[in-house]
Amino acid sequence: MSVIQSLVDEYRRYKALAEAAIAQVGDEELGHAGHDGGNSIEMLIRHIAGNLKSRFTEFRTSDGEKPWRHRDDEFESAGLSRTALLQVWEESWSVLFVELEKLGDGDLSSTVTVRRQPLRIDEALHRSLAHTAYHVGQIVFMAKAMRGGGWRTLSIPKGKSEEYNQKATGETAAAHAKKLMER
Amino acid sequence: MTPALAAWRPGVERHNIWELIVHAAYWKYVAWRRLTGAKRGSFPLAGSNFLARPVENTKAALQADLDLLDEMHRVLREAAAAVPAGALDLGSAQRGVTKRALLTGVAAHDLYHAGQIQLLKRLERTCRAEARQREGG
Repeated sequence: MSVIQSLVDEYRRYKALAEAAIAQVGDEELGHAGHDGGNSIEMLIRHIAGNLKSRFTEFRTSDGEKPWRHRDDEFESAGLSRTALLQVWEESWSVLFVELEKLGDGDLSSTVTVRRQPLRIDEALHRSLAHTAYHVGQIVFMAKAMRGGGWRTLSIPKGKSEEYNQKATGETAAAHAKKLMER
Repeated sequence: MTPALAAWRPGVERHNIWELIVHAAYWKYVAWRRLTGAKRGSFPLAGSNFLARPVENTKAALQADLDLLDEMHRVLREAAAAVPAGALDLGSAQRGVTKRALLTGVAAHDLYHAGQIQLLKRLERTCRAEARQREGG
């Protein structure tokens, strides 16, 4: 497996985790701010999307923080419908995956810039995956709080670790993502 | 971080920061075991995946779990650094998963829960302030 493929698989895992969580919350709940005016799931979706679209549009030839991106606006409610929100989400992931398809492991030591700072491509990709996983963790946490006892678990159910270990089926990131998408 | 903050739960049956700390330590141990092929059963605590915390709500008990997290991180990093670059694409002890994929996965898993820890810190602060306001009012 190439470095790029291992990253693609993890990106797909976190995309699927977020989507499986988003599917469990109501349309209105997407816009519910956290305590103390904290971020809503809608804001986190738009923030991840804004980040990915900015970083990976013309990934190798222009700075990763685009002049058209308004990062602060991502933390203000845009009042988007679920359909519109998921369209923004899908578009950004599509930009990422198209760009990753063009890359090979031989490109990893080349440099890109983010906010005028040079970064090796492997560092830029790991940093981006870390950022995405960080906020997906928050989306899942908030969705779970909203669903309470009705939450459908996204990984190994509580108290089922040993049973799962006997016949593990979601061991690779790709298999885990596939399992989540087939639900 | 105080033991009170680490032990605070946002709701019934929700994990607290303390449990996320031990959970991250546990999965670093699992990644180390799968990377090195070490036998099961050497994690210093009884149980797997999510362990109920706190057992003792003290500063010393929290520090012990933070030390465990540090130690599991150190051991995993050492094991990762010892894998020759050419061996990263060989299988690990986890069925169907290469060493490279294992390491990429455990790093992302850490960040996934780090995001949740940040959220819990903020929630706890807000709930504490609201409780103080209620008591004062």
